[in-house]
Amino acid sequence: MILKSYIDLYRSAQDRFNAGAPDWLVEARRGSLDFLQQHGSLREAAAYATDYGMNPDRLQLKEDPYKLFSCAIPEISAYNYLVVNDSFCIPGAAELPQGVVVTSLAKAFSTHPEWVKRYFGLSHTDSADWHFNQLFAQDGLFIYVPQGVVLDQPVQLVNYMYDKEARMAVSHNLIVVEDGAAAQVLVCDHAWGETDYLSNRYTEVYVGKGAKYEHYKLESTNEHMTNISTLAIDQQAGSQVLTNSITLHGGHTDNRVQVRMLGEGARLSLNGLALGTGRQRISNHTDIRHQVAGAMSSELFKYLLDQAAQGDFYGLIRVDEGADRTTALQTNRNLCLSADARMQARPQLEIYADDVQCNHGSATGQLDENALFYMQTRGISEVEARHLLMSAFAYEVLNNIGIEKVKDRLRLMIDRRLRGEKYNCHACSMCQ
Amino acid sequence: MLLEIKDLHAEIDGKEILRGINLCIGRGEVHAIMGPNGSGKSTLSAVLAGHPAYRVTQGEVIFQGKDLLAISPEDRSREGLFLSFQYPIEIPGVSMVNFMRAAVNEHRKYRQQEPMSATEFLRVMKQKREVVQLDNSLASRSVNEGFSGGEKKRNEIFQMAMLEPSLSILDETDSGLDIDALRIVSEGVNKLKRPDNSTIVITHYQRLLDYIVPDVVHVLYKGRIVRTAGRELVAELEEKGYDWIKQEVGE
Ligand SMILES: Nc1ncnc2c1ncn2[C@@H]1O[C@H](COP(=O)(O)OP(=O)(O)OP(=O)(O)O)[C@@H](O)[C@H]1O
Ligand SMILES: [Mg+2]
Repeated sequence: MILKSYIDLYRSAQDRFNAGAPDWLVEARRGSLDFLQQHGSLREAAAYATDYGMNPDRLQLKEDPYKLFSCAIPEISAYNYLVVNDSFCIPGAAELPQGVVVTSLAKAFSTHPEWVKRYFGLSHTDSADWHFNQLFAQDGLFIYVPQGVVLDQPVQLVNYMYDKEARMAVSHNLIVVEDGAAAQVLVCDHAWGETDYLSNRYTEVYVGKGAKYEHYKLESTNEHMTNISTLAIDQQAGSQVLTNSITLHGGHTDNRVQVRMLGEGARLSLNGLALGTGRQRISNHTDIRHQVAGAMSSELFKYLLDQAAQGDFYGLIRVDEGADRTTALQTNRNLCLSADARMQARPQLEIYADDVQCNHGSATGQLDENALFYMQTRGISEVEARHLLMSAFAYEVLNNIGIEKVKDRLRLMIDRRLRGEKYNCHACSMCQ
Repeated sequence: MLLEIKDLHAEIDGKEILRGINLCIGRGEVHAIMGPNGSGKSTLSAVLAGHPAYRVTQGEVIFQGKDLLAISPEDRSREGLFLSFQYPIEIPGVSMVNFMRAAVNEHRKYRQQEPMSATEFLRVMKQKREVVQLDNSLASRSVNEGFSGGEKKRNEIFQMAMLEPSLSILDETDSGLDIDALRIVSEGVNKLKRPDNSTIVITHYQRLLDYIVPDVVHVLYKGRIVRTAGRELVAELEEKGYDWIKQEVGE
């Protein structure tokens, strides 16, 4: 299908898509429809050509999905939530800290209408992807952490693609971490079977003054998956944010992270790791806007590409006029393990302020032959020597992860993936 | 015989560096190889260790009865060959512990032994560190990363202690070591000496050979061994340099 067909689909089924949406959203969707009709250029537009099924009526699975796909990282206790395709599955009651809300966005439209209205769309930029998502996304995860509250365990969200026929899933997560609060979110993307899937997911995060937020996104899907995601974060003064997007297995991955530094003293650590094999395509597009003075961002993205995998890194750092005393560092390191692997790196700095410390560096190379030989002279096989070098390269992006158990788990998963174990991230029981 | 090198020729990037090396080393012997810069000493080490950049064009090498040139670098190590690099390689992100554990366990696997337990491994590490007084903080860092020149050399001999080779090639292990370190490292090498293992010491200076006393001394020049004698040759070279040898071989 092409964009026009989706627009027609929306038109013909408007009532069904808008059932349960608040008035302001229905109104906003009119704007989105206009936008798409005028500037309809989606990221990865070609990926939408397949005739994917959608789910305007929000049909739920008959069985209890939490039983079907019980997912937990064994060593990590977390609050677990599941989105099957585009629908949030309401879990059994969990005991959350005082005042914390974790629920379905569709439900929050009616249970917490003020909060949703206040924060929904705050971070958006006018892009076809945003409007497409706004038009079709009816559900997702909603988290609200009130002022000063620390969420004691990570929230784990599993996005699970599950269908026998080609399926598109559009979802919207909204995460609000109020002033002085703290939360960690781990998002795992999985896909069942050999069906063609397309997902377009938008996650908005509001991080209040002095608040702390960590966001880990882990993709372990398969070659039939096109995974398009946007993570848009607004950081207020003195807030600290850490993100890490790790692609272990997938088909075509397009991650975009947009962060706006809106308050003095905000600190951001933005990280990513892409492991590509086969004909995988992995793109990470980051966009950091320093809009005020005295904020700091540092960015590390690494790619390890084998066979005919293709990697793309585009990193924009923009320092607005007046955003003096900004520190912004960007590092991109890539290894191409085969002659057919391709990497494209495009760092970009746009600086309109004075007295800033900005730095970017990008390098693409191969495994160090001298190091390989050195290890071999110690009796380490070439395969093992390569493995040691590859994992050392990959682990660096985990360095500043605060939760030791998450770090250990990710290390293990990367290790297994680099040893060539397929389609199984061992993070949960879904694919086992 | 532990090692027999017969008429070995090798080239790199089409340039012939080794031009007919003949060398025999018996069990328990210490041989010194000296020679001017660029004469091919490190090249010989690299060829023996199996560096892929070098092409052997002629000759053969028998190590403990096996055709050394036919086996992979890792198997050469597992068979008991050890090279202490003139310029040890830094491996960022790979910890000394993981590196050494992988090496020791691959050696054990080759001998059909079970991997060493974690506690046993740490105990052995500690014991071998003491042989060369390698600081514990170095052992917990990435392999050679940011090590000083002397620390790197000490680390080479520590690895030798861990792997207990039957033939060690020490390529300018003395360069970069301060006076005390030179003594400590040499004593370490001597402690590791057994009646059945052998050492090739490549050096420019008498100092090291005062500690690690050679049975036989060779001079390598332009890719050939041009002179072989007893340890008295060391003092003669120290005094007179290489010119007289160059003259003798007609240069
Ligand atoms: N890739 C190369 N292409 C051409 N010549 C090379 C290459 N690598 C090394 N050589 C040459 O091979 C020769 C032998 O070098 P080698 O390192 O073996 O000398 P050496 O005896 O160890 O010297 P030193 O005492 O300085 O350590 C030198 O002339 C060097 O320039
Ligand atoms: Mg040399």
